[in-house]
Amino acid sequence: MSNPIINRVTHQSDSATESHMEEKPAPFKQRYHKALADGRLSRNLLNFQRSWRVSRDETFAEFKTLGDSGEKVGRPPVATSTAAGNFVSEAIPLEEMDERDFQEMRHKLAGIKDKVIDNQEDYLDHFIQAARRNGIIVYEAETPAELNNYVLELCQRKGITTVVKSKTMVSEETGLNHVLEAKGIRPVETDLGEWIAQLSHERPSHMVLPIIHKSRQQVAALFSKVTGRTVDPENVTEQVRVARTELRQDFLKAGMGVSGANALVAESGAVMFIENEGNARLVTTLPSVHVVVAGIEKLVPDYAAAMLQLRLLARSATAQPITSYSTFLSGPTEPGKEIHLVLLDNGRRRMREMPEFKDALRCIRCAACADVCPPYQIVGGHVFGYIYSGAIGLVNTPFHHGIEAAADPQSLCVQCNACVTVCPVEIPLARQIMDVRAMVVEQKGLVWYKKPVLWLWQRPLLFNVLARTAGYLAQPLVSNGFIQPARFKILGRSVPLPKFLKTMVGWRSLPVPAIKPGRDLIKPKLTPTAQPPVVPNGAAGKTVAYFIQCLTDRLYPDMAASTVEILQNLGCKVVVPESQHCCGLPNLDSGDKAGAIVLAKQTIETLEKAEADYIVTGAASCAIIMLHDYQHMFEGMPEWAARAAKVSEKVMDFITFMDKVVKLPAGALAAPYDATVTYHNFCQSGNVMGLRDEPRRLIRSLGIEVTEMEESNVCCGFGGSTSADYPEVSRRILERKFGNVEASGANVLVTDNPGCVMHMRGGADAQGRDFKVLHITELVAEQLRRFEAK
Amino acid sequence: MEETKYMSDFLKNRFKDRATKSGATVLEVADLPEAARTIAQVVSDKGGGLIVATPDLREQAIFTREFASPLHPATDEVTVAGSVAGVSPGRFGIAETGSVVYAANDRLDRLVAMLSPVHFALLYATNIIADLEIAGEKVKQLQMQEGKRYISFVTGPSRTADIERVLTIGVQGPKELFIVLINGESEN
Repeated sequence: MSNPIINRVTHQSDSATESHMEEKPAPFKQRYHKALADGRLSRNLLNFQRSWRVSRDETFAEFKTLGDSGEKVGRPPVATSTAAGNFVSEAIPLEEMDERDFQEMRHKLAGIKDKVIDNQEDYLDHFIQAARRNGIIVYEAETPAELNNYVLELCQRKGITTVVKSKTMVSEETGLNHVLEAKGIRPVETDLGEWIAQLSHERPSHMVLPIIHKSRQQVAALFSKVTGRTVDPENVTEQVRVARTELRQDFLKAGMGVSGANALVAESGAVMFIENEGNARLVTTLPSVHVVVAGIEKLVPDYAAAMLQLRLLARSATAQPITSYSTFLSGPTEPGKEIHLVLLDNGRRRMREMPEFKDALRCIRCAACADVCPPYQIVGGHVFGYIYSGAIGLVNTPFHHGIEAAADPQSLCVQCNACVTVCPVEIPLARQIMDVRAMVVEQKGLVWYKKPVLWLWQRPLLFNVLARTAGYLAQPLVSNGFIQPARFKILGRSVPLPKFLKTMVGWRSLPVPAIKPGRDLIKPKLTPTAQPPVVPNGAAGKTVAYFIQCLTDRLYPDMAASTVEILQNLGCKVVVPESQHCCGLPNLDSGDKAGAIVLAKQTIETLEKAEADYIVTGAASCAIIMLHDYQHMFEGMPEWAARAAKVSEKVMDFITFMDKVVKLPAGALAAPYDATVTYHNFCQSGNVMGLRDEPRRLIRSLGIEVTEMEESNVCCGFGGSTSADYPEVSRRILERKFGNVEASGANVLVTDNPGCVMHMRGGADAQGRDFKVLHITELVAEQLRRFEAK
Repeated sequence: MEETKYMSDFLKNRFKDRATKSGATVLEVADLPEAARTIAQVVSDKGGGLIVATPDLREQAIFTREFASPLHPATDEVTVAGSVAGVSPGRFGIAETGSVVYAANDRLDRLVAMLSPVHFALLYATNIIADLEIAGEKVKQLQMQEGKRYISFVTGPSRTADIERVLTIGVQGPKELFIVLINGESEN
């Protein structure tokens, strides 16, 4: 038989080293730089993320539309539904309506999976007994080696030399192919993307779209080499046909099929697997021996849960209402057929024992977390992850492959929380990545350059002196209100930056440290009583404690002064708790949990003393850590957790305060304004606090209409420590944002977090962009002055 | 009675709509003989060739006699792989997704729906159920009570978007899926 594939592989396994895929991925730095150099990778992923977002949202929205008045999707509207339908559509904004079914469904599935996780051994026992009764041979593997050896020995015992495989991430996790190849057994991936990855000796870079990083031309070149025939580099249909023709021979001659599982149904011992290509049905039907490999987290209690998973999984993975094939296999169907099921632990039980990580065992491997992830878009799954990629990969890698393997990839996360908003099983991915980060720092220590900075950060008095000194020292470097490394001149001549500095700061101008911090500017303006409000509003007469935030205080003192000016004009009495320093976010973000706790305690002590109705900050990120992270940080410290909870009752970010307390009607502060404003949802404001309409309402109260840009929810690339650790990633995410801003035609870009302002303002200055960047308080203050002048 | 008709029309229309969206072609017929004539016509329009069918269909004379050349049994996988078209009876349909559900245990019967480039799924309109929730109950019944070991929801033709996300129809499974929807009463 002259099958070119068979020839090739036989030939290769005889020959030298490169025939087998590396057992372990290349070192992180190498993978990182390779990805950065690959322009196609980020282009493909950007296009993919954009179209995925649109179609995924549509398939979830469609579920509602199909269900008419909110009834079930396949059932007709009930006769009296009109009134109920109207009521619902009036009560819930359209965007939330579209998401409503998604939120309900994911909450339900998360609850079901939790019940299984909490009683895992019971469900597992039940499942295994049922599967055995159905005639499935079940083996429990604690380690990857046990799984691999089981399959290998089975092949050897039966004299099997060709194994056809449908998609299984578990076999990637264990490196099964490598083990089989080393013993002369030929594994053939039959999922198109996996097959292409296998032929190119690569790993899948995305759990659902394994070769999203490749072009059709690359595929054609590969297929031409493999088949010895010319394959049209432009014709994808022809390329797909090559796979059908070539793989059919392997399907017919293979002695074993290996498949994964999407769910294990405990009530019946059945395995559910879904696919689009039809290869998994062949893998599970044609060879007389079938081995299912599955992680124990795939358990669901019953068919009802499996159906719910189907609804969520296909929509989240490929934006389809259902995939082409969904199969339920409960046992061998004919004499001579053997079905083996290998259940893998490999760290899953350890995950279950750790309260902060066990939620990750809900994962159904849809890869939605990668599909919205800004750094993933830049570097792809070979870098953003290890074997499992995307946010979930950063969380489960320490358990499946060790902390070493997760150490670098986890540091790429910008904490934008986009993954959390689309996860179909409500995994708190962003928070878990922070916990992985803390674990990495605990075991490996902080990066050298962060140590002195974070040490100093915990010493407010010393920091104060140094910050002011830095303000003086920086003065000679200032031009146009920035330090502009890209335009440094010595004696009137441009100075080329060394490569390292060019990467770090060649594309962004830096803010100037203030000689006089914000608190000094505010102090003389504070009054013992409130002044009459310029317009009637809900905050007039209230006392507001202003939490300045470190960045605002030291880099943007005018912003601090503007905020106080706004609050006073609204008739609030403003107080500024004296000893305030930092909420602890920079430390938490760097994985320095101990340092974060020191600063959090200091902040709580300071804010407890403030006698005020509200504690307001212009930095949404500080409000978010106080409202959402303090409780997790103080787990095991109930007294501090209680104090944090008490303080947080009063804490509000500026936008929420304006929306929920001040409540200005549209146009309340209207004054002539001749620029076009677009709004960037600071990712955490949008994704954690759900602030989307609120800032727009506030801007409308200024008599200004917002011109929307595409992807206003997507991160700007600042990401706290990411912008220092991975300046290339930070820069490219920023450029995605700038592209959207410019396409909108806006010349003013507004947002609500000083970190974003610093990042975007510095980038816009260094790159000579045609728009200016304002913090929301600056826009409000500006318009307030015009309103008063009117 | 009118209510039942309203419901079954709703289910049929939704099923047709969803199946069509998934890339399947729905052909409505009155009865089994018309189903056979329709299949024969489609295959002959494509240039003709071997048609394989599952045993339960081949046993129905009113079905088989409509074909000019006899329907072939699925004797082995190579025969099935070499056929032009396969015909299988669908157990039930799901309106929510436009899926046809197969529950054949026999390996060769199953292959009829997997290997041929063109596939015909026979489905009685009265066997269309509303949604996945009901489908779950039915699968449970089939697997736990009736011993059906291999149940597939088939929704549209085989497809991939692995290369540059270009949607391409017909990878390992059928390139074309025809759902022959029979409006008459089920024979058995």
